Amino acid sequence: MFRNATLGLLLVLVLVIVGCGFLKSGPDANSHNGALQSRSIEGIKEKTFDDLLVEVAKRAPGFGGMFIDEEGALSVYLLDVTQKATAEAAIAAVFGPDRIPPSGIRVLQGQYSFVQLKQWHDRLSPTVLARPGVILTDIDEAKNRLRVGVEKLELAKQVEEELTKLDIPRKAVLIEVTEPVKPLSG
Amino acid sequence: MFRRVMTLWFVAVLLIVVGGNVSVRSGVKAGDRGDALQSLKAPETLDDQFASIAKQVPAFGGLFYDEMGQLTMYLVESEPNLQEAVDLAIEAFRKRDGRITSADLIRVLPGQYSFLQLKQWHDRLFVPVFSIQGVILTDVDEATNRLRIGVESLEIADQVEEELAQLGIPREAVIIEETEPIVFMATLRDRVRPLRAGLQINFSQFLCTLGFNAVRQGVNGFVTCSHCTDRQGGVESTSYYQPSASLTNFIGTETVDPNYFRGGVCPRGAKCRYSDSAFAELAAGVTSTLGAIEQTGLGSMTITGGYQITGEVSAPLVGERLDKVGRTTGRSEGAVAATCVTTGVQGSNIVQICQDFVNASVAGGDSGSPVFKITSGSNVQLYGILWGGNQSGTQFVFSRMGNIERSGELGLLTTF
Repeated sequence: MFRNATLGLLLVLVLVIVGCGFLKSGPDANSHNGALQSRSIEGIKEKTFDDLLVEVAKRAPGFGGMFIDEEGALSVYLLDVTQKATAEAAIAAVFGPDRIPPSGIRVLQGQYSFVQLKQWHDRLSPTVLARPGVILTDIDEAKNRLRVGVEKLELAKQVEEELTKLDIPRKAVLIEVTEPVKPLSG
Repeated sequence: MFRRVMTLWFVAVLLIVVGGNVSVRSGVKAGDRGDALQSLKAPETLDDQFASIAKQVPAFGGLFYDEMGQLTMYLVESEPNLQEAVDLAIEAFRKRDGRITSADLIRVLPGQYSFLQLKQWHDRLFVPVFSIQGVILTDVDEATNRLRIGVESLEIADQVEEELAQLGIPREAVIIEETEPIVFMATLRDRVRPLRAGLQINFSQFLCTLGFNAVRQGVNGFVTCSHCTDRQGGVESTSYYQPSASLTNFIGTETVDPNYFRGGVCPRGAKCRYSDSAFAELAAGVTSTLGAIEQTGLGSMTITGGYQITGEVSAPLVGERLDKVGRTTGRSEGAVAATCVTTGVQGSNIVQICQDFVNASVAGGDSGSPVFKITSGSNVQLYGILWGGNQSGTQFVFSRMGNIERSGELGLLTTF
């Protein structure tokens, strides 16, 4: 009986410790308001937004990126458009329930998962940006593609060569002429 | 005898010459005084011109353009020769101000008071009335053929009416109305205290914009761009002034500006950071308001009020509409075009990792501008600071709060 009581006490202790850990691991309930409040989410500050989208993708495989469309709706790329509910839950879990508008998300057919796009981008960016005339690299959440900005379209061939070497499908990448970005002190 | 006559002639001539010179000089002096008086005399106001016209045309009560652009004149109702009075008034005004031509069609309204009477009353009242606390303005209102007194609150109308009675000015000739006080309109480029985000700052021979006030590890200061320091990356204790360099305008010193790193995610040959930001400690005695951003109209630099930061947002979404306030282009607003873009910086080997692009107007000097979203009224959420843009000034680039507050960047900041 004494043994049972001890076991019971141990069980309660374990539950308490695990419960506290579980509660702490979640983001602060008040910290999500709109997009992403940074004030009380220490760990998130070390992650980029793309890292957070990867977390969504891990919870909702087939998540391809999200953006606010011209009508103000939260539009989400999914490889499987039937996974809307899973995607909403994943977005709410990472960014907070306020990120999901009352009308829910608008689903778009995606071709590439965000995880895949990010892996390609992380491989592509340092190499391609080392080439003169390449201005920027980006995961274009609004188009479910990678984007490479170049000063002149003549440079597209060099970028394509790089994509081939890195085994990144050409059709996953938009190569476009972009104005250089300059600092704006006066 | 001859000698006596010649002496008398000589004295007479001398007197004439001397006397003439005196009068000429005094004439010159008088002229000079007259000229001096002319130059000291205030230029004739429109009210003076109207009063002069009213002297020639006693029925004249005022002239103005109505809301439809129609030239309109008040004539005292009792004037029997209306057309003649109109013609005379127009002619008198045209001689003084070529804007009116005889071909203009004039609309005549019945007036109660001649302009001359209104002006005499106004000249009598404005000194004593202005001594009443809360009186903002006095006016001869040619559009209503009345005097007008603007007050902060109608509670002082009694005091104004007492003064009118003492001055013998009929109450019905005066409109007393509540008026907003007139204030100096400062701009983002003026000296403004306490400091708020969006104001012009100067370092060395460059201009930037104050990004936002912040407390960093207990130190009061403000954030602006790293390239708005004497050297981008690394601390050189850059001195800041607002709006421009002078002893009395000194506002702070650069204390935090992380170095750029190489390798890892940074492209070969480049140096990188996650934000173009630096922190400056506020100088002793300089006042600033935490959480405040200067408010201006779109495209304007005139300060009309203030925004209040009520929250921070780590990262924007493509499509969100954001604003910025900068010393060169004032406030501009647009949609987020791209997020988390890794971008080179023209003219350097710098690559900024994970930056955000907004389709909105920008120009040199706007670096450091706070980027924010208006949530309701004057409440805003802070998204980051602007550091760059495209050549055509149609798109700006900013470092998001999530990156600015990374360890390795400026770290945690209190911004409101």
